[in-house]
Amino acid sequence: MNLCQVSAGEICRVRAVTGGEPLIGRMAALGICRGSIIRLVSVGPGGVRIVRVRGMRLALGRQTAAGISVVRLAKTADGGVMT
Amino acid sequence: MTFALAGVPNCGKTLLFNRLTGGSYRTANRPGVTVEVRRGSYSAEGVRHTVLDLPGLYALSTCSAEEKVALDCLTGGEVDLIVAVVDALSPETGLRLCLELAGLNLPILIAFTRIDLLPNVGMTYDYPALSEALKIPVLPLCAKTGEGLERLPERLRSAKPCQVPQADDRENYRRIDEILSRVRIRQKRDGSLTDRLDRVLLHPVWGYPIFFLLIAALLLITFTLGGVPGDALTALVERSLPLIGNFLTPWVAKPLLSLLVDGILTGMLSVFSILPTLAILYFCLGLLEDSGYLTRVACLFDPIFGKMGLSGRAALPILLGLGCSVPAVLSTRTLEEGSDRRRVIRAIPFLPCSARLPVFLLLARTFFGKLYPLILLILYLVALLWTFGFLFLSFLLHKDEREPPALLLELPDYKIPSLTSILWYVRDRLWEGILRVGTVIFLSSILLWLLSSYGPGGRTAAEASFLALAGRKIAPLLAPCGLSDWRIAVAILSGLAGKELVISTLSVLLGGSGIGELAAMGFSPLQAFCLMVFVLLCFPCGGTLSAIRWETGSWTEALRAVLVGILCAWLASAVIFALFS
Repeated sequence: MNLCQVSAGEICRVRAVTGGEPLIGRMAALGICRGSIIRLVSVGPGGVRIVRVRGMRLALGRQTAAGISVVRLAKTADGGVMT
Repeated sequence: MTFALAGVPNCGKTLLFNRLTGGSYRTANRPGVTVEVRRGSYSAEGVRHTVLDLPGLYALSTCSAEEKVALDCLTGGEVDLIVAVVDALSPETGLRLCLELAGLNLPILIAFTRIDLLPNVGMTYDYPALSEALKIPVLPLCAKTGEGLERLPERLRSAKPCQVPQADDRENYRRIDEILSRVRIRQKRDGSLTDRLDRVLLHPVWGYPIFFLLIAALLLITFTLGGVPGDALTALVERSLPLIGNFLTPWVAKPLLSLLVDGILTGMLSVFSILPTLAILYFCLGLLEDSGYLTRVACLFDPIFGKMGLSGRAALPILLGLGCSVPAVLSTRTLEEGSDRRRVIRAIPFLPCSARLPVFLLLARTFFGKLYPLILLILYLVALLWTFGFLFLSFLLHKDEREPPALLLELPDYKIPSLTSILWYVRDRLWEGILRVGTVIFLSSILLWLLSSYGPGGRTAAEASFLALAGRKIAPLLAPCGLSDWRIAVAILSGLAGKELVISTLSVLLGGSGIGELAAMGFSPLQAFCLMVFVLLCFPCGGTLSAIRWETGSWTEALRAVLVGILCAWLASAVIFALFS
């Protein structure tokens, strides 16, 4: 499943990131890479995804979010993760 | 010694820079405020250091123009030491950058900022353990209060290059997560107000009406509240000018008196009366920006701008363009794609910048009486529609098969705007305005007075002056727009030096009560509206042209802005004049 299929409040782990080379690099620099823990905060206008990852709040366009494939984790936050 | 403050955007580099150098550069609660390298000096314990404030960067291998500026500065050989600024509230991205910065083999130390806010979120760090684990010295400090800065000189002396194993982003993040899990001590979780606010302000449906209400409120407050002190000032000016003239008559020779009163004072005072309105406009913009809302606008507009092949980030330059075109053109640096930048830069001159506001305000109040806020709102609406239409048209004309740029944006926490930082912002903007009035308008008022007081046959009435001769050559071209008076042609031309000049030039040329004379001459409200539209759309001012030249690197682009502007202004006002007359 990808990030667009996750609903608000759910926590998931990134399995893979697809997209253009610069976009993947950019996302990695912002903390979205394989293994990152992401919490979907809400879905904004036009499908913009607002997520928290590594203590930061990011807005991802729908296309960008669709390129992030994830595994859904339990809704309870795990201890070391800032959500 | 020269040290550079480097870090991810919005981590507080400029605040620290201001604290160290005693500067008062603007800080705001959004990434990308600093787009160029700033210099300052910091003296401690008898040693003087040069401090460089770099634009924020996320990674050394990057793609946006402002990040390149920072990278070039770090690798250019000028920097002796890197002070990596890391936000203690969300240190992950900052620390990852530190690992990369350490690979530059310069002496490095980490300034861990905003530690004053840690208790609020129930968090604290084991700093010695953090330094040891990272193999880079860490100095916890608070730039706002200066806490921890007393240890900086000693740390600067002892800093040396740090041997940090270089790895890819994933491995670096794994390392940082592992380190933080050991050194970050958390007492409780924060229930985030920002997330709750975002659910309303970034609601897929309600987000838009809220945005438009906010902008409409901003414009209405600016026009109505700003008008009150503006009226008082205008009345004061009108009454005091003859008094000043009478007072000076016995002492000053007649041509000089005319230069002083009819030329310089009339020109400058007509613009000064607009300062309260500008102060309110900038105060409102500063409020939106400092609260953290302005970044959200990029999210709101991403779906709409996506249809024009642009990223939502383009909304920011366009909003800033309501204030001044020059910072708007500069802020397009946050857009990543070259051709998208160019399209936004081409659209910016059509926005009603605050220098055009005096022209609109005085004309609307003279010709439309109580209805003036409505007329101004219509004009702003026309301007925004025109700008968006222009962007859309340029997309259709240059359509290519590229995917629309991806939105990937950090959203800062909302905060209660800081009055000091907004007042600084207002002060800086007004001061810029006053300096312009002081220099450009002063000089042009003199030039204008000379050209309008002398003709081929020596000193003469305005009607036979050099200026009138030139204006009369141009005026017939403007007849289809209802603007066949030579004085208006000259006033529009003078806008090339600065849009405020349009109104001061017109006041000087008309003499007497300034714009009021226009009405007495039988100038109709329709003609006044056409003049407003013409001034709105015609060529950008000199400052904007040089910003366009600077950002695009081509004079052709600046020339293009002038020609397209004149064409658009002529067509639009001619169509309006033909339709309604």
